[in-house]
Amino acid sequence: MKTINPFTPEELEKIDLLNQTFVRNLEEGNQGQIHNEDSFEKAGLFAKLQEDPEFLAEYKSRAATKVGPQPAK
Amino acid sequence: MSGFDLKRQIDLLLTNWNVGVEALHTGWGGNYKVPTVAQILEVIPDVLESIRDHQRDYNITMSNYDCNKVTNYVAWFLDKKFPGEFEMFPLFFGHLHFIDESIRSASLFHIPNLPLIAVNLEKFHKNGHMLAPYGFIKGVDLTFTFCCGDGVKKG
Repeated sequence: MKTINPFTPEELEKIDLLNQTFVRNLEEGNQGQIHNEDSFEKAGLFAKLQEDPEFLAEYKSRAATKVGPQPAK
Repeated sequence: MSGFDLKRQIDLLLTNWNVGVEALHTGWGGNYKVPTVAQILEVIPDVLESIRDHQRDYNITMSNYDCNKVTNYVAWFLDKKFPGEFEMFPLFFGHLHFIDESIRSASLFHIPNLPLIAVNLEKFHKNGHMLAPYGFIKGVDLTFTFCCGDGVKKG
């Protein structure tokens, strides 16, 4: 999986450590009802953004169309 | 580490933030800062602790990172760590755009007036709420008058 945003090796190392701690804590605390908001991942949108530069450009363009006029301050 | 990937979550958050900044810059002008990875990593331990607390407080089994929670908590803790340095509504705008385009069968699709909701989410945080009331966005209650009920965690 490609990364859109660059990470340095040091940052990746730190992220990996934090990830491991989070997963460990999560596994230790997992006793309640299931809560999975991973549906965005399942929709595959982010993977597509990562892998298709043309799609990413279209996606950015669509975001710009949603801005509209600036509200009065 | 199947099912869990913090790098992916940070990548997604930064992508959404940059998309929001570019769109708002195009539409409204102005320049909006995006934090560096190093700045985000400064608050990630607090973010993960808050997610763990949420899991414990609400007795839920988190089966993955939750990009709503990650986005909200990162915005919250960045504002505390670097007060006034970043405007958060471009992040919320980018995040809402992501939601808007992710779940085409959901009522969230074609969220009207994303910028106003994003601005209000920033105000919501300023008013002391850590987690934005995404359930209310479905009803497009832009005033957030009813946001202090169950399920909304105050900071």
